[in-house]
Amino acid sequence: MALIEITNLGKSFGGNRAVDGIDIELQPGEIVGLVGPNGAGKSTIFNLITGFLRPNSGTIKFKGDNITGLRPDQIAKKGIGRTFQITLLFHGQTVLESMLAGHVREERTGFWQALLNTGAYRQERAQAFEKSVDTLQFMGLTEWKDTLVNVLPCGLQRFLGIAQVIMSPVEILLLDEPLTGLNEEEISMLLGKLKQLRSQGISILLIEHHMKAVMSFCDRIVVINFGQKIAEGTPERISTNPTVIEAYLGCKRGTRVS
Amino acid sequence: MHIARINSAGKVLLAIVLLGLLAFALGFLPNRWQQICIMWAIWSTVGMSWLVILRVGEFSVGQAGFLCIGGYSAAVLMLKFNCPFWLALIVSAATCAFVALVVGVIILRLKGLYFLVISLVFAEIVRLTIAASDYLGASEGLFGIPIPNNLWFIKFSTKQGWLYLFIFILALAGFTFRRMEKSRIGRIYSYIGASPDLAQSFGIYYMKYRVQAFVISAFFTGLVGAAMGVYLGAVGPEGYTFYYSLIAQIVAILGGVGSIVLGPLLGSALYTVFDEYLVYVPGARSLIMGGLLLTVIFFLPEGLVSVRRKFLNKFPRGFPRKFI
Repeated sequence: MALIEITNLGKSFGGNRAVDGIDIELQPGEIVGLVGPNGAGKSTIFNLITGFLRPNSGTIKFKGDNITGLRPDQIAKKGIGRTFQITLLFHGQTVLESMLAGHVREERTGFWQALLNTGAYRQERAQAFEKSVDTLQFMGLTEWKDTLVNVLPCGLQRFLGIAQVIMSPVEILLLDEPLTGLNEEEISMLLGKLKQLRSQGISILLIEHHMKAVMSFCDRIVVINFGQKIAEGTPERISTNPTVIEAYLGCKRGTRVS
Repeated sequence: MHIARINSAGKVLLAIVLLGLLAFALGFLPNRWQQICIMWAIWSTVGMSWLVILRVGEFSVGQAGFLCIGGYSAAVLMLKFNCPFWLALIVSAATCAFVALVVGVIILRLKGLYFLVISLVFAEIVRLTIAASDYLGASEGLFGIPIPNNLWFIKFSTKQGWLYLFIFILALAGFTFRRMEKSRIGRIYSYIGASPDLAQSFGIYYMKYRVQAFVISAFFTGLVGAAMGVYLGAVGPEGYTFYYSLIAQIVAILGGVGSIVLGPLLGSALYTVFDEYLVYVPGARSLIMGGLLLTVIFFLPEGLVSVRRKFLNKFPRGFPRKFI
């Protein structure tokens, strides 16, 4: 069964069809790249999958369950993690404090237990604390743990974003341009971490403009233009597909592919 | 934040005993200072309650609405139903919490400036509805609320008794808010205040916590409002104007919004002392108050709690940020 199955997804903003009848399927363990020119509707697709926007048409299934129209928090609880294109941060919190946010959905103790500091609550807090230390170690952020997130170097803020998502078990990561603002060294480091995550069984759907990384990293690539899927296939086939080349580079007069 | 910090029960007990003794000593101040302390406790509690809503990212100007509902509930219960004082207090606070739950689900869908405006509208609707109701005494309000019976050594016929009651409410609110701030609850509120989208993407249903914060805030505001109504012996719609909502913000901002307990305590102390002694300069009252507020905001944008850091700058390394 496909992990994520999107059929005929559509979303309009006024008269603008941002997403227009898209079908995407993602198998467990796969890394799929979602590419396309700016404004093609890639981020809108992410927002539709994660519930930040409601689709006008189509269905989204996660492991066979219909998750169309659920709230973002309900979708997150199912194990769909995402990052944002712009770096969203919890301003005023330290790295460690904001890491704990990713663990909240795992915690079962309620308001009164937290207020009265019961044993069960303290145990969960200790677990969350331990898990964030481990995750920070994994992402190479340990030495920054007491830094305020807003003064963290830009590249590390992107690392933190992913670290927060994997604080709780996720089955799929939706990464919206994770490599933006990273230098070459950081890119190869992040891709290494993502490969490690994949070997732990996490699937990845990736929006990225860094073509070299996309080509080497993804199993399959879906190309979107003007809200429609114009090509899909392995990186080799995509890189030679004339429709894709036209969408990205334009075409010479008279050589337009139909 | 020191998450792994272990609270030693002994220290907490000692703090409670010392604070209790301090509160007891306040009851032997001259009458005028007792009055100042009562107002200090009242506005500290309301300021703290206001800060809880600010934590989830919303700027409320509707605290007067809950003071009003609390005060009127207590007055109606005691005057028309002969309800005992203590029961009236609890029921009034619960009423406020319930109203906040119903109203909050609706108005907390709005954010930012829209929430600010609708919270103001809420407070005004409460006040004007009461002013139009004959059962609630219309524009004259309800008066002649009986003085509660004595409780052990606490006599409500004296200022001293009321001082102890308001300090008790303040302590209750302070401990609750302090625990919230130190626990996951306060952290979740800050996440929502900082970035609701990011919080949602981690599976935090932000409406739930926004309403929760609003309800808790209303509960304590209503509790103070009920006690204040009985203390004054009368409630009237003219008493619960926009200015009451404003004081909540003034004390919190004067003290510093970074600290949910210490900030309002300090801000309220400064405010109430000035408020009391400015009666000697009736013409310049608002002018001096405004000047004071501007001075503090200009020199201490993070409020009075930042005095130590700003002018002494002598904190040991790793001093927990939230204590400052």
